[in-house]
Amino acid sequence: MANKTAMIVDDSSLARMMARKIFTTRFPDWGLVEAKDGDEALALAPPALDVALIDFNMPGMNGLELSEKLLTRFPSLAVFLVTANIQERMHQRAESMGIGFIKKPIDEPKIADILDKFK
Amino acid sequence: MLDEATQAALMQEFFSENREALDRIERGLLQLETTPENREILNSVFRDMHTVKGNCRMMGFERLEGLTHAAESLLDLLREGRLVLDQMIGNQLLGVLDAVRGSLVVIEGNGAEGEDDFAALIFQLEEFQGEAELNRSHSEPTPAEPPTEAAPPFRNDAEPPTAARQESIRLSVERLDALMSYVGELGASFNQLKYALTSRRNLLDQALENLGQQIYTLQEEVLQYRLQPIGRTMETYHRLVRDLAVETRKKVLLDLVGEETEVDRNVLISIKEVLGHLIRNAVDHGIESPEERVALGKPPIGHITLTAAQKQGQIYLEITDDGRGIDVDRVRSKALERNLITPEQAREMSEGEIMRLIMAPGFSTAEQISKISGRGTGMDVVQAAIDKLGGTITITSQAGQGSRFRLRIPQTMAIVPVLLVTDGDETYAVPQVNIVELISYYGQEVATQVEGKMQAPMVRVRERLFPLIFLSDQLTLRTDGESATIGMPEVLAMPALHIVVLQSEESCFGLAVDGIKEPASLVIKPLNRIFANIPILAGSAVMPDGSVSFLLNVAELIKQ
Repeated sequence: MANKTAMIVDDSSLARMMARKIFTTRFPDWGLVEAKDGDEALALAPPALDVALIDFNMPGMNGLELSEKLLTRFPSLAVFLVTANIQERMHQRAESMGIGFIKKPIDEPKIADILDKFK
Repeated sequence: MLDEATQAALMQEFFSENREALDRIERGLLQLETTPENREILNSVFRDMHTVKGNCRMMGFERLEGLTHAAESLLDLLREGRLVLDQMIGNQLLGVLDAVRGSLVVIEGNGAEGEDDFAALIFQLEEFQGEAELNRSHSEPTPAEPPTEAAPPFRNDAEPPTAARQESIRLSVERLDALMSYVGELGASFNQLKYALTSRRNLLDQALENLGQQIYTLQEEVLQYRLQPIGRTMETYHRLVRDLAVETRKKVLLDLVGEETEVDRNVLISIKEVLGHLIRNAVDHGIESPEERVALGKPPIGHITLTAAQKQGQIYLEITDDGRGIDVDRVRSKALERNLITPEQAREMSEGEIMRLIMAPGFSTAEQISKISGRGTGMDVVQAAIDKLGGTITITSQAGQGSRFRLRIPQTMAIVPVLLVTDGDETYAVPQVNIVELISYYGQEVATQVEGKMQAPMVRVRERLFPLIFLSDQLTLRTDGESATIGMPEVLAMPALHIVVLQSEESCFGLAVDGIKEPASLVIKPLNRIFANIPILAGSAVMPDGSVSFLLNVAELIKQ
């Protein structure tokens, strides 16, 4: 089976680093692309992408806007917004696009929950 | 779990990223001292504080998280402009930076947070937020908030329930004073009138006119109080779209435009359901499944846009979607199946006319009454509700590209400025908002200004030809179902022609009436059941002499 690829988009380098550590130690079969904001995410996105973990509050476009763009490019992409707390209406808008949520901070069990579905 | 080396590397990153962010925040705060409302700097300071908070949370430093969270919430109010950064707030935020830096040193030393829970600092930050809340409750409510992930300021339950808030309105002292002064003038005019009646009859006309003018001003003023921004109603559709999307496994994004548009409370209540119905339809019948959309070369996420705008006392509401559009052929065959039209009509009707059939009573079918599209009601309910409000609806749609439903509704349904016209013995009211100009032709002029085109009379107004419609024809048409009887020969024989030039949604036309009377402001009521199915009538009003006159529905006149 071809390797799967995930993407983490977060303007916090610590958050990206945490994700990378989790992926390299626990999910070495997965490729991980890191981006610090929406523009970089769109520029760095590989030809095939399976999972995107996206911070909501970033410079430039917010997580919801990026999600929409990524979903347009990768219709079957599983998108998760990583948030601490989010306005109700943002939550509803995200859900109406079929986007999931992970509560901040990212940790191993939460990522495992998502990636296990791809086995 | 992550090993020690990894943990050490993460901590390294924790310190360096936080310190960089804190330095940037400090620079930003200092810049803001001279330009306290610079949005860009406020946004970046907010985001940096957000990052620091997130980092503290990630590494499990709860006290630091609490402090930075309070600072972030305050910064959120600043960037939204609900609070202005002054020296006191600036000092407070700089104090936060010092405290965070100090705490980072402690963590670097022994790997754990100190005992300080920053209670005093947090308390002061929340005090400022409280002030913003207070300011907010004094001013008009802001309906639309920019997207933010920040937590609501320190109390989740600070907002009273919407329903309770809608029952009362806040009145500024200024407005109350204005109201008082209008009432005072009214009293003075009443005294004038009384005086005129008892001793100076020649002052009567003037006194009556003054009183009339003042009552009108007062009405206008009070009507303003009934207006509410439509945003709060629009907001509720996010939830509706979300539920429908989840249920139908579609991907939909609802965009709202014009949330600040003000609408009469009562109108708002009536259109809430209408809009909900149209949005429901857009998700259910318009937007395709993500798979279908991708196969068609469309983005998987469907877009629905709800736009509100106000123009000359009218509210324009538009619901557009980029879904599959209305299948005219299917509508036609379904309407035939249901005997809503004859085969002959089916051949002659334009695409636009066919589309309107989806709002005819009896069009909605069992197949359409899914769990979502709702409660066994069809689009005819929408049409009926809009008629009741004295509004109109137009549908445009392109197969494969999407549909647009455009509603025009009077901003307030209570009082409508009209022009009174006559047909025979009856008086009718034409909404002033539709009137372009009034023209009367006498004798020879009639022949030079009116010409026939394909048997239909057209009127020439400053080098432009407009269709000429006769009110009497329109009214006869409604009762005996026969076609227009006034043709060119009859027109040319007329000694005089009184024309109201009207602008409807898409077109301009002349309405010939027997006589033009005076302008008036009428309290319009919904039509009595007997007349409710006459499309060219929009409402009724009781005239000063006790008789009833009808308000004409201009958009329907030209459609016939």
